[in-house]
Amino acid sequence: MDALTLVLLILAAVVVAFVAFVVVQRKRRSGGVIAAKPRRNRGGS
Amino acid sequence: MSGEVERPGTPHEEDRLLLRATEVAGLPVVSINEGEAVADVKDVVYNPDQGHLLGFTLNKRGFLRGPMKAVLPMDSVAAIGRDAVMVTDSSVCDDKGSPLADEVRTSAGRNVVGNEVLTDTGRRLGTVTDIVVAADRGEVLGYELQGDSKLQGQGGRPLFLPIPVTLAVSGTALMVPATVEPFIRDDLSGFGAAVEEFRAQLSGSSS
Repeated sequence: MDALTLVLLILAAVVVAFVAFVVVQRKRRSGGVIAAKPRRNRGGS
Repeated sequence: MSGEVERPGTPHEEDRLLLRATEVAGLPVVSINEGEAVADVKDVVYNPDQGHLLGFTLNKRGFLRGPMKAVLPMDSVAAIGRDAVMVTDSSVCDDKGSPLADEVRTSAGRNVVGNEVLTDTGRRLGTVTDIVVAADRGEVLGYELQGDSKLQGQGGRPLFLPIPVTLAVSGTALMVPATVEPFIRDDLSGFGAAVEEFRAQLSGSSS
């Protein structure tokens, strides 16, 4: 394996890691509509 | 922007801004005193027992920033607008350990989007795609549904289903009275009025 191949492999790994990070982070940021669990002793009017 | 979804005709409802919950998600939380955005809305948390919003979970600002541990209780919200959620001060966001943070922790996985809606007579009305809230009062008025094909006569347009003030939510299915069917709309125009008529009928029949 020559030096150029090694550099390309490292670059590819960095790109894959970055894309994976972006995908995971976007998934973590995505929102939803949460229905709170009912509580028998919940306060309120 | 698509956040403003209704301009009802009656004077009583002129000031009422109806929003879909998924349109609130992603809005910036802006501090009035400091004049800057302190977070983005992540999840909308509501209480199906009482039909109102409890608050919001938050994301840090910035494209690659993750969720915050802090949450924003509804009683700390000054206003919900079509473009931002306003708070008086950035310090109103509660950190973990607050009642709302506990509520969110114990309710993890109870996302109602994708849940089925069933009537108390066992009829399936559709699948929830969103909830509709009255922004001024933080009141949950109904669900937006991808409806049953027999109900969805208008070329696949979403259906808007008024809900009672109290509602059973099991985590996988939502129960509504069968009497709701005449009040289902396929447009948000007039949906606020349909909600009030439906609730008036419910309270009339229970008294």
